[in-house]
Amino acid sequence: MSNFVLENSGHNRDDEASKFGMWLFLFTELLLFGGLFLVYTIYRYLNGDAFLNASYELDVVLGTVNTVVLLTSSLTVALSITALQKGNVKLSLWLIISTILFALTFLVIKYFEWTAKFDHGLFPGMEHYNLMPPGEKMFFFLYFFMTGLHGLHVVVGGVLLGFIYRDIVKGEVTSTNFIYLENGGLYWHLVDIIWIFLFPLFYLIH
Amino acid sequence: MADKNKSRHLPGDPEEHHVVPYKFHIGIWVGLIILTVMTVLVSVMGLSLVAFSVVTALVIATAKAIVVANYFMHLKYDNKIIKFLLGITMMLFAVFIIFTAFDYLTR
Repeated sequence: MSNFVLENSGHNRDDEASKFGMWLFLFTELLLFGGLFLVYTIYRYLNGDAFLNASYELDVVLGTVNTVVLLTSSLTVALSITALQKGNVKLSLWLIISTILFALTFLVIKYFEWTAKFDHGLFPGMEHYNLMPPGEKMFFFLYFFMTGLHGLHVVVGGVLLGFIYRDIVKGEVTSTNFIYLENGGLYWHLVDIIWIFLFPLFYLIH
Repeated sequence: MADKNKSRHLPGDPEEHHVVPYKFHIGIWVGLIILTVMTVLVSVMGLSLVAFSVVTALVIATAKAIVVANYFMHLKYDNKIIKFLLGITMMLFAVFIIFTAFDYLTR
């Protein structure tokens, strides 16, 4: 224990515990979406053809664009952490802004996708939906539920990054105290990882 | 040698953190984009091979997730216990899948 030093710095901080807590939260998020993926897998197994037919309704181009948007936003938030660690506050702030802009881009594209589905009456409870075979109903129910829940996470992540932006401007998050930015980044990457699985499962598996 | 003392650091000591270079992150991003293009191509071109495209899509998605977790989420440079617990979470998820599959496949 000779190396154990307690610095009297006047504030209590434990970055490692902070990050650990964030990860524990992310584990619960993984299991939340994991449960939904399990539902998807079972219903796909039971209604293979219906899921296949229904998946052709989704727009692969828009899905791909959104994947690229989200991957790029993950890059910008990762870069903003590096920038802050190197003391380049201005660059870090710009990178957070671009991350939020990518989040908005993602949501706008999602909005157009959903509107097109509404126009076709594919939302649960709509006329066309009610006439579909049970398997296709299940596909669209899961599509709206899972992309909707994911979209909610995008909104939350964007707001979180907005708060962190404010804290950097106020000088509360700095090049030596960047755990909030790191944790916000972790949340954002989780949102990205969930989309990485949602995209092929709904759009690509033809 | 130095690793033994790694966990005993001063809170907020910047020295303890591994700063990932910009270029490295950009390289990771290029890799992720290439993997995305690959999945889309396999799906669009391999229309008649449903089983093949399911497996490839999931393998590529898992590869992408591992890359994001290791590099963007800094898991590679963080305390190993996070990775360990992530492994346990994934095993728990695997148990859910396996038991549910037993149920449905044996009806």
